[in-house]
Amino acid sequence: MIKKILLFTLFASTFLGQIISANAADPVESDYYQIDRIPIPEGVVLETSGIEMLPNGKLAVCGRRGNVYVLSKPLGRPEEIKWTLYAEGLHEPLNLAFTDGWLYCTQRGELTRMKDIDGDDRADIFETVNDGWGITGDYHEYAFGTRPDPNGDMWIVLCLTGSFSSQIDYRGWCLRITKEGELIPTASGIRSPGGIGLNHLGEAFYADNQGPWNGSSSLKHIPPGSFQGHPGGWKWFELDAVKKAEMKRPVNEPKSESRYPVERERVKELTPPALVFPHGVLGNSTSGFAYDGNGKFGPFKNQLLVCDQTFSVVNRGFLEKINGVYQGAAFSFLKGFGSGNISAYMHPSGTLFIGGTDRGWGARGGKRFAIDRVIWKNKVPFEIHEMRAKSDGFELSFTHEVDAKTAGDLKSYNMSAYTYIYQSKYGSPVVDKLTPEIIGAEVTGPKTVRITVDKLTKGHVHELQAKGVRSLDNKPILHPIGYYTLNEIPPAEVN
Amino acid sequence: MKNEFDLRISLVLKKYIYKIFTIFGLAPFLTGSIYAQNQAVELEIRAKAGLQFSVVRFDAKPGQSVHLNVFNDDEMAHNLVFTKAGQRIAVANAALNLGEDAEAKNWIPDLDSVLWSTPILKPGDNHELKFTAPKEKGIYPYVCTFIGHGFVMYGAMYVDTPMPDISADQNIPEIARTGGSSTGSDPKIGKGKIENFTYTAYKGSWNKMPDFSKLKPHKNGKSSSGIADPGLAGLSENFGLVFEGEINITKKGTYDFSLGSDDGSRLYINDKLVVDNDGVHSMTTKKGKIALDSGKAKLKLEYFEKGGQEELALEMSGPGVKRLQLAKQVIKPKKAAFPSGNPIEITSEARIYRNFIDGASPRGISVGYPEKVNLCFDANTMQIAMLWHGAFMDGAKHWNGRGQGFQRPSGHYLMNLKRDQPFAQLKSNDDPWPKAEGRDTRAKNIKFRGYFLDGKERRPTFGYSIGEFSVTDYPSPQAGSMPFIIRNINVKGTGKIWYLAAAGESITKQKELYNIDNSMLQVGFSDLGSLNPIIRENSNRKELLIELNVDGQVTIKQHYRWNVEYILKEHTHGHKN
Repeated sequence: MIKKILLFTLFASTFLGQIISANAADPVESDYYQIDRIPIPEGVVLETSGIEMLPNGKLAVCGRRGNVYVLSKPLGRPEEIKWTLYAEGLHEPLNLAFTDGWLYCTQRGELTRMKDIDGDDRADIFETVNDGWGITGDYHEYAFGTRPDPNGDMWIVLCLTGSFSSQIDYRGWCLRITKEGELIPTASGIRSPGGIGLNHLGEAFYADNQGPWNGSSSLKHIPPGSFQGHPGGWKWFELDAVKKAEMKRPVNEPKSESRYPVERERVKELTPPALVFPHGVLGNSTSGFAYDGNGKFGPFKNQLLVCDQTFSVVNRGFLEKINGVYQGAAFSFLKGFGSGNISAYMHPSGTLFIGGTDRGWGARGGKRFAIDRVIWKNKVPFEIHEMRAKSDGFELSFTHEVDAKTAGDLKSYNMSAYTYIYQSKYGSPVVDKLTPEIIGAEVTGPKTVRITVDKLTKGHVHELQAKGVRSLDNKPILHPIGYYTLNEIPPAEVN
Repeated sequence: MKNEFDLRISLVLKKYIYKIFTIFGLAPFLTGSIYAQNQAVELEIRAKAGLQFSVVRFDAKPGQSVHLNVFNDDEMAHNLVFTKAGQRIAVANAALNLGEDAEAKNWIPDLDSVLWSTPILKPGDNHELKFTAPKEKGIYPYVCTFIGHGFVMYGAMYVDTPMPDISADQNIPEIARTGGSSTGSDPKIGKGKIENFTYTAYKGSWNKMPDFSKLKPHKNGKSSSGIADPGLAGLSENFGLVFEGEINITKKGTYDFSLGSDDGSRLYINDKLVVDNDGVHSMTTKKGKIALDSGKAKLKLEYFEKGGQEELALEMSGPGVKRLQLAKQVIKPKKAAFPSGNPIEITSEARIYRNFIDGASPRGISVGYPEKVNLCFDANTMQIAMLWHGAFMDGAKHWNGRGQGFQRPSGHYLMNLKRDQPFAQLKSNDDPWPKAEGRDTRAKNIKFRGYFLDGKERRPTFGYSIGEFSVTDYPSPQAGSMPFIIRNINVKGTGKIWYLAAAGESITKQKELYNIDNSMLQVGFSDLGSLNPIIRENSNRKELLIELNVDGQVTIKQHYRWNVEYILKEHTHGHKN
């Protein structure tokens, strides 16, 4: 056994060595970001599933066992952080959100808000804001929620029963709960969410996991009235609240064993995934995300930092809207988290909190549960900052000035394109593989490169490898692969 | 007639136990001498699941030293308290009225009638209890006085007093009288050994013992254990087994055999049918006897299992042999054992466990109270779905793996209530009550508002609204001889509304209380004022209803009590968890 591992390691390192000119001086993630594990007190089991800042500067953290702890001085030395039990007995809460003096959480069966009224740092009131969706008792019937959007609404995504079918009201739906506690059916087609959140504009995105009608895990934008791909929950179009919300059952049902662009033509409400995280490559189970809204966490302001539970990593997503549809590029970002990442919270100071558990599905991190803290070391890694689609290729912008020679060299780049079957069967292999030819790499500015390819394919993930590109100070790109989900090809620019 | 399976055997001295465990038939049982006054009674008593002691009676001579080693094998706390003759119930009740002092006092009341006691033993604890038997002859009860256990968990020390036949002994729990407590784990049963022991297993489904000689064996083998174990077949249903071997008889005489099985079994000694326990049945014990010469006796034991639970137990006794086990009793639980390992312990505060609880809808909210009484409020119907005593809940099912399934409450004296919504606006007096037909049925026109935690015990008050009425629902646990719940319901609003206090096949009034069905559940009311509970028959059931004309607010105080008479009766058929 040991021999095998040695042999494999030897092989792997030789193999990788040929591709990347590995160099002891090459930068690594920890040169730029520091991950600190927050010690969890002995006897506390916190299968972290939600993280939120309280107005008093303490951090509220909930776990799948139904407990909520409050961490004092969450930005201080990890070993000096004090934990107190704020609440327990909740039904597998999967998010926390503080607003209007209440700490909100989405339990399996309801949106709840809680408050400490007698000042002993423990919640005394647990008010049911809305419990208008059904649960049958199937463990898969998870419910994830957001903070309030600019309208004050909280968005909730509900996993299908058993992740395959919708046995009770709104399984497989996205709902909004208004400030007043009213339920607004918002989107159908949800399969098995791993998290939901808002971007800097207050638009909702959720993670859906590989399975039926989902070839790969992905992050999806949720326009109200949209259909997110899995028709299992369509029977609830008959509910009065759905009719009242003027949501109509799509005229056409999606056909199985098809492709997204084809079905989008037939089912107008079908919203394609904004960011595909190629299954087994960038992750296995996309979950919660956060973003840095004020640029204190490095150069990736407003980009989505998206957790993966199985891989115990955080990926990065650049998004743009083309022809009214969100799409963009996913990149590796940070690895080395303690457990299976579920929840992400960006503190205004630019400190990222990531928590999770491996329970039920396993995770590479190795710990049963963990909460980690990431700080930026004020050094900017050399990364592809943005990857924008163009009518004939992509525009790359980098975080540092590029070395014009390598950045302008066609040989520095490689592209492949592929997609997944849109089908009722579980998952999909990678299909329709193409090798777009890179025909141009023009350095258009100190930090920008315009890539042109012979052909773009709508609906395909375009995987760009830019391993040959060096920065002006001769550093390789820290994560040189971008996975661009090309739902729409932008029109040629007029100028 | 002397019963050889009497638990009196539990008195044997340790050194003799050793011998009977090792040598079949050779242990020199000098029954008289073991009671010699100068020798101590040494005995192991174990608290077992289902509120039972492993030993329910034993003998001692006046003034004899008694050394008991009391183990707690159960998942909840227990103690063991000796009382003066006839004082068991009084002591158990006094313990329950200790209130807040109970824990500190180990649930032992300050009474002269308490003779000796162990402290509270947590699961896994043991305690040596040494005392000198009273000079005065009599029957001295011992009892677990931990909350509510005293009614069913007890035994008796006979001091210079002849024991009646066990089946007629009123000083031990019914369950022990009827043999229902037998689990095969009684450490006082010697282990026998079948020599030259072989077994042959057959596959098939029968209602009567088949002629195995005509069947093709599924597997066969030898076993060095010397104990006939149905597990040797490696099958759980639809199989047969034939065990063959020899037993060593040291003393000529008549030997008794007791053969219990689920399903059928037959015992042959020297080719003679000694016990016929054939047929498909639950665990049933039959007895037989045979005269044997000293030397080897040929044993053949046939067994078959059709489906469900499987058990086999064979014991023999005879000259110089008190009680020897020759077949292992295997109990396959009807349900998969519920996971345990994350007990949610209740100390000084109420605790809430909101999850998928077996017996409630998926919106079950279990509450465990320091008074050792627990309930599950069902937020689908706003009804109390379950009430139980003792241990609260175990998180293991939901906190391991993906957490699939509904977790049943821990503890004991579990009562499942009708989950129909508590309030409805009936159109007329015979308008049917809206019923919780399926597990997922939600109350009509009722909204759950949540709960708040109050006082230093942080007990929840639930809130919900029905139409224009708003309701607070505060279950208040009551410590006492049997802890119970008073549910304080406050309805605010204006108008007429009906309250459903209970429903069942039968509701009978017994003094101030109503017995619901043939069950542990008794409900009642305090401070009724002008409220007038009525029993109506509707939809083929009885309903205990109160019509409320609310103008401002109305309060209902409903009691949920455990019917002790019923519990005592029920325990003749085994403890129902």
